[in-house]
Amino acid sequence: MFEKTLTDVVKGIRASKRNTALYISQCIAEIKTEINSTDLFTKANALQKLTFLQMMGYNMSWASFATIETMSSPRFGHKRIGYLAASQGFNQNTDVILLTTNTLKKELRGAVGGGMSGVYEAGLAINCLSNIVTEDLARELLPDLTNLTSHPQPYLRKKALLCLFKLFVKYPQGLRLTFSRVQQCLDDTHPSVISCAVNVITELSDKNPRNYLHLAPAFFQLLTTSSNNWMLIKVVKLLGSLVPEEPRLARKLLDPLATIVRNTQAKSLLYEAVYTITLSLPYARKADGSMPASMPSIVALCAETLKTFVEEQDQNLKYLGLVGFGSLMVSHPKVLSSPDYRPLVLACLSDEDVTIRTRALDLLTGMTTRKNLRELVTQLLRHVDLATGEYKSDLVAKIIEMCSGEKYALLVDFEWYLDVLITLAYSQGIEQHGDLISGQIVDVALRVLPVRAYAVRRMADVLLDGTGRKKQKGLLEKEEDIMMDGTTRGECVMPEILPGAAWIVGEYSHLIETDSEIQYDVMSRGTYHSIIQAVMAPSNVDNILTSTQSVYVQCGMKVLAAASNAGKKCSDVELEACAETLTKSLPVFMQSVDVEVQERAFTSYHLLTSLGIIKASSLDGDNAFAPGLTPLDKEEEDESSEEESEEENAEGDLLDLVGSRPPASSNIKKTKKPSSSPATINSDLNLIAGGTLASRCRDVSKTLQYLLTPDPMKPVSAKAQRKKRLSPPTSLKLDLDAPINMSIFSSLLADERAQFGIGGGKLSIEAVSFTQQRPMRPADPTPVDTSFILSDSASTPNSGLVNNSNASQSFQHSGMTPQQRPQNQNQHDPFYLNSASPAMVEGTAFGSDPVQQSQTGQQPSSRFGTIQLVDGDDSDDDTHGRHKKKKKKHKKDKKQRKKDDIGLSFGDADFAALSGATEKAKSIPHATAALADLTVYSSEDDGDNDDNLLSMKPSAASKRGARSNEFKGLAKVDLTTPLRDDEVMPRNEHRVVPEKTVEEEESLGEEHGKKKKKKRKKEKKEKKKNGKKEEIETASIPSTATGDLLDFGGILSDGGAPTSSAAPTATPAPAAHPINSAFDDLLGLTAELAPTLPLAQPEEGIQGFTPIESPATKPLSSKKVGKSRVWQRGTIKASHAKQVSVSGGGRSFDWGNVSLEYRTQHAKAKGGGVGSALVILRVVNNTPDTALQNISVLLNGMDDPISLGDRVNAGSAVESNGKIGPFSYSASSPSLEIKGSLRLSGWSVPIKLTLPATMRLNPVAGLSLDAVMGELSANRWESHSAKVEVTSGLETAKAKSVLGSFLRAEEVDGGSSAHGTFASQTNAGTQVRVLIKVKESAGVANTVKVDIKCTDGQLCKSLISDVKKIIL
Amino acid sequence: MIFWCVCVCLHYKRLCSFENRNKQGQTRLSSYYEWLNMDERVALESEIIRKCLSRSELQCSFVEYRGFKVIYRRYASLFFIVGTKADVIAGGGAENNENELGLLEFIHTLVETMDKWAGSICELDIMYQLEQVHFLLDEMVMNGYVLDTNKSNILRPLDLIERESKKGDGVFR
Repeated sequence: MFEKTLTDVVKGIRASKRNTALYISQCIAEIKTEINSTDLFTKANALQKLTFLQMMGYNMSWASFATIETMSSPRFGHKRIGYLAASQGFNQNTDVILLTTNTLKKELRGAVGGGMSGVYEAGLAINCLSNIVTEDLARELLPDLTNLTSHPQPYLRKKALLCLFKLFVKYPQGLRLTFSRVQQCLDDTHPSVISCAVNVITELSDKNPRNYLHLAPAFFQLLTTSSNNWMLIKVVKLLGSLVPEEPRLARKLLDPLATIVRNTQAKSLLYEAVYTITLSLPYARKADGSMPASMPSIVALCAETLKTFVEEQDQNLKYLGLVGFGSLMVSHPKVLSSPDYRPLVLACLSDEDVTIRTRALDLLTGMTTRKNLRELVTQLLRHVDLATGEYKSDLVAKIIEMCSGEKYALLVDFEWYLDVLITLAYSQGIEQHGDLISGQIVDVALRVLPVRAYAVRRMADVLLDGTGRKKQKGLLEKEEDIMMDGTTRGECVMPEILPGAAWIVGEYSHLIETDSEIQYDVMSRGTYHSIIQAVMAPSNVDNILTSTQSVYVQCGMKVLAAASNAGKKCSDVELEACAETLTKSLPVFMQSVDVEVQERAFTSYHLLTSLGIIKASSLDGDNAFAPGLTPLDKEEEDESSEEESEEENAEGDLLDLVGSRPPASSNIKKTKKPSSSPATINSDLNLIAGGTLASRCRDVSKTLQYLLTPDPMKPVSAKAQRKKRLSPPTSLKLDLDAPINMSIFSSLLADERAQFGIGGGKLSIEAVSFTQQRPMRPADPTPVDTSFILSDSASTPNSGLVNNSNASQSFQHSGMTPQQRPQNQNQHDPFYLNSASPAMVEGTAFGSDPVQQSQTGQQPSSRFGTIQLVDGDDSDDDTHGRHKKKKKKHKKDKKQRKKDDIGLSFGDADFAALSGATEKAKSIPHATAALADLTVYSSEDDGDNDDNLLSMKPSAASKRGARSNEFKGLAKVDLTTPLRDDEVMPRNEHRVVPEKTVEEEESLGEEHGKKKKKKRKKEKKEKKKNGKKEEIETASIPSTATGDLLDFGGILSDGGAPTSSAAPTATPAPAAHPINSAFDDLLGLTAELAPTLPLAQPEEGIQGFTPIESPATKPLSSKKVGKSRVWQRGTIKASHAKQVSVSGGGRSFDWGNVSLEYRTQHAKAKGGGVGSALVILRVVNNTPDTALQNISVLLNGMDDPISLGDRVNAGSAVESNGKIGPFSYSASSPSLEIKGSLRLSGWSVPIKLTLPATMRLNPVAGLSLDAVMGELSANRWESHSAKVEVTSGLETAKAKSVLGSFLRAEEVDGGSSAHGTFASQTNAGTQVRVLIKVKESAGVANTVKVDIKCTDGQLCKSLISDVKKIIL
Repeated sequence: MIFWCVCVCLHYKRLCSFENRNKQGQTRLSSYYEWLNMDERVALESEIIRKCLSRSELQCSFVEYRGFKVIYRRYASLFFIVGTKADVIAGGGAENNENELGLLEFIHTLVETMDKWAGSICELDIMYQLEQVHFLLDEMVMNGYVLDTNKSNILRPLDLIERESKKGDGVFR
């Protein structure tokens, strides 16, 4: 009696400003006790307060039950509170929603009868229902709600109509059932009802326009006659959504819409009309390609209207005008390029409102032309300086997009573009675009030859700047030009730019201009030196990313190479200074924490040492190496990261000896390694004594040049790269045939000669370069260490080598045979095997050992093979199950590729970007590999929910992403087909127990013993039958393809498999049994092909479905006479494929091209229990050209592998020689999984067969369609559905019967050729009803949709997954 | 489709030492046409309100936020905020959005209807007669779609409902 009312609470909250939370928590505590009161007044009052608090953000889910209680109160006042609380407070997690069903139903029915009684209650209920509806509620209440759409009160009609839409969303099936009602409401007398109907149809049409095309004339009528703007907006929207489905409508629409545009006063309608015109324009093209005559004037009208919008003072209209322009640009991209619009849009760019700015920015792409690009970008750059936050990075992205779009189509002046990019690189706040900018710079430098020199100059600036040097005044004039405001330039450049800059400077170091005045510091002797100083500054180790450092090291070396090669441009002093800087700095980098940097620095250092550029004196002191880290320790690290270095070689500093990559990279190593051996160092020292460091540098410049910058890099498209990868053997072969360029070794040979003091004759190249590798690669570092020290102290080199006893000595003899060496290395050296296979090829070139050559040659191919497997996705068979997934993947793939090639080619179409980042290129195969794995893993049961029309699950609507899914079911509903007989309004009835048949009653009445007896009898017969069958089988081996006739298989559909081309044997047709009807079609086929074949008569008393095949019917040429049957697809786990022997050729497989198929035959289990099955396997080779060899299958639980054949040519198939099995089904799960492995061509891959649950089914006879409908409407069926695509061109009727027989079900009469109802049951009595619907085109089946309804959920699921595996 | 509809009352909060005024909004009415969890609602509301309040009157009434297109309109101290589906990229074809101007007009109709119902609508009207306001809104929007825009069509049932619920609501129950 004295509880607080809602007003009290509101007052209380307002009064307690200080401590509102405390007050509210007190209130909630009170509510919690009040709500449990038995007095409905108290309860309702409490709920009312709670609803208010809920609005303020307090949870009320605990009061759900009280809400329902209040809802069902007889008093309207309480009801109202309850319904409001329910529509506000319930969400998808509220489990008591189902309890509202009856209350709601009562209210909905209460209003039926005319008058005003119950109308408002029903209104409340509808309102509430629209907020809380779930799938179950929708199904239950759909009939009642539909009735209300013809209620005398328009108040209820309109509400019910709108609510129906929500019901359709949750229960798409309902749309088909009740759409006619919605359509009728279009002719309603009451305007708001019509408006609601339009609203609903508009929304529906948004999801699937095709269904509503036939309504277009009606709406067209509305469009031209109605004056209700609200509705007109919707009508215009609706017609707009129909346009993509019916292009003719687009042309028809243009004029009336234009009329609206010209006449209407309402801005909203005006905008809607313009917007819809812009949407329809792309479709307005006539079939012959011409445009309607009115087109230009309409486009002009739109543009003019939108322009007035943008010019408006009202920001809202301005915004919408910009949106409209964006839409108009889709069909007329150039509409904005006229100079009238430019100032307009540019003015919007400086608008105060970021929403407007962003929209205006989007329009810029359409405005750019070759002529105004520069001007626009210059203006944008000004905005970049002023902008902040996300808008700023949007701007930058836009600038780059405008310039680089369509392969730099609009760009004329690349030098200017470089300037722009560099300017951006110095801006703050756009860090996320660093990589993009860097990529663009590299891309431009790579592609555009004329600007390379300029790029090098600018990048040198950046490098000097980036390492903290103060800018020299006056040097960067041009840059200052671009910088609108010199002061905004940040002190430091974006770190992401630096690697790109270093790469450009290094790679094109021959373009470095020496006359520029840039200097690193006072010690600098010239440009080359400055750059080297900048990149090799010891402070870099701390300041710069390690990934950048590794590029820096390479850059320093390349610049040195260029300097040594520069002739007069580089003075001796400068050259020496360069070398000295490197000498000093490299050891610093050799101590980097990053292995990559360490390794590059180390390699470089030793290269210089071996070439004599780094003097021996620097080796004397310990300072050359990290304290405590002996040089050989280092070397060891070097070795271990060999794999890395190979990749790195592919990146930039690639020495292209003979035109192919892998051998080239090996050469680098070979020349480096031996030269760093003690012997050569000594000899170098001798030489150096003669000349100055500078002249020494110049002497070796050729070598340096050759090693570091052999040829300018070229952009390589991803496609070209793939080609290279795919055909490594050919390229290798070419290399082997080509004469080897020996000149590179000449200097080393000279060293060697000097070393041994002999004349040239005896030494071979092998002796120099390869035999001494071993000492540098010790198992135990200590002895090698001594050898190093010994050689250091100028003892004879031989003694050093001899001391090195642990290393395999045979390698040290220069006289060793080349054949021996690689073998030994293969055996003993783990590194060699793993990483250096290309080097092996090179090695064997000397030894000319063909066997080894071929073996090592496989190494790369198998490595690439894994990539090939992945790349096959665009060529292999898109079989139906994976179809969708593949497509998706393809898209993804494409997207990724797109992302990678920002720039694409300059000039020619096939050139794609290599933005200096091979990592990226590498990541693509990895990514796709992962995807490929994914496909294989999930190919089994994916898309379970996809096509499941009958069992739409309520989607989680709370997440944004889920929203589109919410309408997925709705979009699938097809209204164009007429209602089927089985599509009826869901009725709620008590389950009617089907009348027992006489037989059943009898058997029930009988004693158990008798039953058993019967059973035993049956078993006996079965045994007999089985025995017979086995006999037959043994007799007819190897005539396997004939198959037994126990299984009513479908029609074999593999056109590509000659071994089993289907000429059907006799199909047993038990004449007395009704199952025959299902096979009539089948027989029709067989009769056509082999009309004379006799039909077997079934034995009496057997279940009717498992007739015995009589030996007489079996033709002798059984191999040819394949039994028509349905194949199913087995799962191949390609990701787990492994090579078990190389004998089969060693090429990897695209497993997508190999498919394993099986079919199952029914066999009675011996125990009469759950049944068992026999399996026939076949392997189909879908590869374009490769034959598969030595195919065998080992199934788990079997001792010996089953051989399928020695060889399958491309495009054909091989079948197992005899039935495998029987496999017994277990009682626990309906289907039976058999795992095993498939071997072919030396590969082994895990496989899985799922023997179908259909083996448990037996047809049910004598059902009528009505009976089935009756059963189904009794609501106790689990239902699932699937779609099977038919690829073999099966006729419609046959497709149906094949599926029916696969499911071992009998057709209930009454179906047409395109659809039918089938019935079957398991021995245990679980009922299965199947609805098969064949979609056809020209009499040939396209897809078959199978709806399975089953009284057992598990069985239903496994049946549906069986169906999905079918190959038709 | 309208996903939610929020009415916010604007307050100026004076910070103690500084003279600047800090805008703050408090939800006075909220209605959701899709299921959101409580904490999601609270977070969404507070963010949207902050976003809307931070905009000046010179800026347009559309904010794109978290995949919603937020359309708001200010009447003195009351903000009416409507959330609807964001634009699909132009040219997306059959995707229907609510007409932005239409929604602005809808908000205006809503306010006019409220005005007609309560004389001149103010914060307190909404606070103390929240239920009725809810019903008023329910008469105009259902399930995210505009149900009716005719003021008399909206207000007549509202009166009847009110009378109906008072029936038998005597002093002694």
